[in-house]
Parts: sequence; C-alpha cells; structure tokens
Amino acid sequence: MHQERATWFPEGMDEPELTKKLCHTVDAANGLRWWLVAGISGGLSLLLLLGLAQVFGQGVGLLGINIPVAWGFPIVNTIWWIGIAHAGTLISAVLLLTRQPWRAAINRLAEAMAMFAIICAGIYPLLHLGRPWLAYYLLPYPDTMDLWPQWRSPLVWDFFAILCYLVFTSGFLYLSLLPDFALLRDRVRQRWRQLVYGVLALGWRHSQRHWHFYEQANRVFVILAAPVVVTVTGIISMDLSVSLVPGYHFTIFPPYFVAGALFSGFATVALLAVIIRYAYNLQGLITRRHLDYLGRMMLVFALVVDYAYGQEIFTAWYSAEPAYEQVYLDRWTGPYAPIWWSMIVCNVGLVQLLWFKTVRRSPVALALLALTSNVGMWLERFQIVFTSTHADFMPSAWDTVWPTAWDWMIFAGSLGLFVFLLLLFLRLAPVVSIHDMRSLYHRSEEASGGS
Amino acid sequence: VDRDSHMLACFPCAGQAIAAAWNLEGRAAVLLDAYAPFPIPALQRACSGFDKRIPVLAWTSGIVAAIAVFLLQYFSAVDYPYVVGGKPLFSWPAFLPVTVAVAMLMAVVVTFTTLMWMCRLPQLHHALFASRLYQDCDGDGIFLHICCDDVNPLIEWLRKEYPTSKIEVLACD
Repeated sequence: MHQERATWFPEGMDEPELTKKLCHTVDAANGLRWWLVAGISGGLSLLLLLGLAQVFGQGVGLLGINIPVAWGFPIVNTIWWIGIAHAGTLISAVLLLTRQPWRAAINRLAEAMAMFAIICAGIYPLLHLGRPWLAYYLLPYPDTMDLWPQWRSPLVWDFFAILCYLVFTSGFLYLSLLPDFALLRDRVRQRWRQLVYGVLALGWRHSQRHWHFYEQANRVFVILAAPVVVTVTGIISMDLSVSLVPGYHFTIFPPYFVAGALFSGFATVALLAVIIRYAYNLQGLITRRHLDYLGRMMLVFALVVDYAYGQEIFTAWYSAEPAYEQVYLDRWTGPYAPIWWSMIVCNVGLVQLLWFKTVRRSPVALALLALTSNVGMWLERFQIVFTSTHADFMPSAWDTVWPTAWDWMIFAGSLGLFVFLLLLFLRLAPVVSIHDMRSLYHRSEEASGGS
Repeated sequence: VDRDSHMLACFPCAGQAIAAAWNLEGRAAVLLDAYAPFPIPALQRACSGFDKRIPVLAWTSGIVAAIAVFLLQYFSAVDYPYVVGGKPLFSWPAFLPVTVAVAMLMAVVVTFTTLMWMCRLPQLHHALFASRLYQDCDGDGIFLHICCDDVNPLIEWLRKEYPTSKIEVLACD
C-alpha cells in the first residue's frame, strides 16, 4: 500500500468503491435517527417562525431590548453565528491555498456549516431593526425623499458586510457542489432525481475545459476568502469598537473577533465531523488524524483568544480610566459574573486539554470540548454585549437586563433551523466532496507512481 | 474542426487517457475535449490553452466597484448633509468598510457569472448525455472526445494499445 493513499483512504479501497461510499450518504434511506432529529429540529424551526411572527406583529419590546442594553440578545446571537460561519469559509479556503490534503474530507461540511450559520446570523439584524419591512432603507437608492444611507453608521456597514458574505458563501458552496451534482445526475436511477440533479448541475459534464475554468474561479474564491472573512468579522467587531462605550472601545477587537470566530468555527466543524463520521460510517475517510488537526486548530485559536482576554484586562488597568476598570470589576463580581467565569472555564481552562494528543484523537472528548468551546464563545459574546452596556458612564441609566422567554425561543429556533437545514442538505448533497476526494486519490496515486 | 467523424473513447484510469491523448498526434485526429469526474492537469493542457479571463475580470470588476461605491458614498454624503458627532461630511475612513465589502461582492458575482459564461452553462442538454457509453459509465470513466477523418484505423490503434478502453462512434448531424 502506498503511503500517501494509506494516510487518507482505508486500506484496500479503490476509486469506484470510494465514489460509491460517498454517494451512499445521499442514496441511503432516511433512518429513524434522521427522522427523529429532523422532527425535533423542524419543530424548533417552526418555533422560530412563531417567534418571528410574534415579534414582527407586536414589536421588539417582546425581546427585552431596552436601554441600557439596547443591542441585547439578537446581536449576541448574530455575532456568535457569524463567527461559526466564518471559520467554515476560512477552513475550506486556507486549506486549499496551502494545499493541505486533509481538506478534502471536511471542506464540504465546513462550507455547508458556513452557509447555514450565516442564514441564522442574518435573521437577527432584521429582527433587531424593529421594522424589518423598512430594511431596504439601508440600500443606496435614489428615492423621492432624497435620503441616502448614513455611511458612517456601523448598521450600514453590517448590511453590506453580511450581504457580501452571504453571496460569497452561496457561490463558494454551489461551485463546490456543481461537479458532485453532475455525478449524482449520472448515477441516480429514479427519473425525478435525475431531473432534480440535472437542473442543479446546470449541464456540467466534467469537461476538462470546464475544470480549467472551475479551478480558476475556485482560486479567485479562495484568494478572496481570507479578506472576506477578516473584513466581515472586522466590520462586525467595529460595530462595537467604534463606539465610546467602555468594554467596547478596544482597538484589539477586529483581530480578537477573527480569532474568536475561528475558534468557535473550528469547534463546530470538529463537532459536526465527529457526528457525521459516526452517523454515516465514514471513520475511514474522516479519520482520527482529521480530528487531531481540528483539535490543534481549536487550541491555536483558543490561545489567541485567551491572549486577547489578557490584553483587554491589561488595557483596562493600564489606561487608568475608572470606567474601564469598573467594567472589569463588574464582569468579575457583578450580576453577570457567573457568565464571565463560565466563559473562562470553557475558553481558557477546559480547552487546555487539547494539548494532549489522546484527547484530540478521541472523538468523544473532542466533541465534548467542541461543545464547551461553543458554549464558551457564546458566553463571551453575551458578556461583551451585556456587561459593557448595562453599567456604562451614566449611573442613572444602570440596569441589569436578562433575555426574555421570546429571546430564548428564537435562539432555540435558530439552532433548530441550523440543524434542520443541515439535515436537508445531507439528503441532497454528499457530505464529503466526491470530486475533491477523487482528485486526492488520483494525486496520491500519481505521487506513488500510479498503480 | 474540419473533420467528419466523432468518437468517444472511455478509459478506466487517467494514465491511459493521458497517454492516448498525447499519442493522437500524427494520426489525423484531433482531441476535442476530455471528460473526467475530477480535474486532470495533463488532459487540460492537451485540450485547451491557458485562459486568464476569469481572474482578470474578477479583479477588474472589484476595483471598478470599489471606486464606484466610494464615489457614491462621497456624493451621497455631501448631497444629504447629515452631521454626526461633528465629523466632516467626507469622512473617508468611515467609507472604507462598505467600499471593501462591495468590491469583494462584485468580484464574487463576476467570477461566478464569468465561469458560467466561459463554460456555456446552464446548458441542460448536450450531445454527450445521449451517448450510451457515457450513460453506462455512471460517472466513473475518463473520456476522450476525438474528431478524425476515418475512425477505423483509430479504433484499431486504440484497441491494440489500450485494450481495456471502450469506444463509441458518435452520430454527427
């Protein structure tokens, strides 16, 4: 057995068998577990619709958005979801740019995760607008009131950033799916499925001319990916840092948010990889080596995030600004202190277990750590938004605000929607990119002199 | 291509297809295209030149969009004078986030649409899909679409050199 092939493919697996195995994720009938998870997540998605209808009908007052914590829960969740989305894109793009062979088994999962996370993220700003039917006011169009968007407003920046990211992610994912849709069109036997995949494949016929242009377009996408991710996360962080609010006004925020986004994103990919490899019996293709690499990436970005926590504390102390010092004392001892300390346990304490190879290579341990890391990152977003604003410069405006039941319902609904969309995606497209895996197989064969 | 007969040859592995494609020279045959479920650089070189239009158009459109949206922000901020925190109407640093986002948005849209245009997609029907050989392979084979004056000597040569290959002569309208 050649070493390169043995690293990424199970022993004895040839190319037709590989293709068959990957197509099986789409061809297999839905099991009881699929229906169970689809039922629960579909129910939560309906709950989201109910919550949205109520909030649109009655107003954002239902959400507990109020002065001083005017951004409240929706923006906590937006930032969290966007962070998850960004890592999906960056993982796929950076690993392609750096020609990492382990990308092939997880890039589809990362891209799909990015797509559905950005959909969940996009719901909240619309919700937070209060009057979502006037969202088009954010567009620069020549209207009869001669009114233009306020270009200095982070809300307008957000609109363009999220739009850019949504279009980028859709294009990147669809580009990657196109050859696999064509392959499925050529393989499936039922007429209706041939028609569905035929339309989705747009007539792609695996021509090498097509592949030539495909690779060029893909290269443009991956070169754009890093600036898109950094810019969009940076813009989201600037929503906070351009204000003068203590706890928000830090120049470290853009890189801090990018690192946080990558940390939570790698954690989510690791969690999904563990679940998918188990559910679809893909242990031979999404190997423990993949989990090891994902664990290493989680650890790297967790350390950057931990450095940012320290830097924030140092800045608050070194600035000698009473308001900044007060924010930190309040984070440690105030009404939101349990949130801060839980965040530290998850993002600083538990994550250190990833130094151990046995932990990184253990699917259960990695999944648990991915879960705690995501909880930690959510708590981080919560404490940034809530603790920074609930007690700022004016003591007369101080208040302790907590999310309402509607907030929780919509958040649970967005989690359900994410899972539901992912499940539908698993039925439609191969969860591991077939053409990337076959390309890797072909390259590893070439590297070993062909056989 | 001014030749009469078209044929499709299917090979079980990339190595054979590449060798056949390069050995077509001097056999009064032209390789029109090659089909494989993953990119094979050697076959790409054999059947197409190097075309840089996608990256060139993407970067150009990004730069044009950046200039356009920056100017739009400048003129609309001056046209609708709204002072925020005493900042000047032409607050160029605040215009940069939207400029960068729109530049990238445009580059993405142009990349995708140019890809579709270059590949002539969507094209839901193509003569290849009617080929029995293509239908039977379930997306597993590697195909060469060859155009020649006379298929018989070519078929003979392919059968001799690549006995595992399968051949179909395509009807030409």
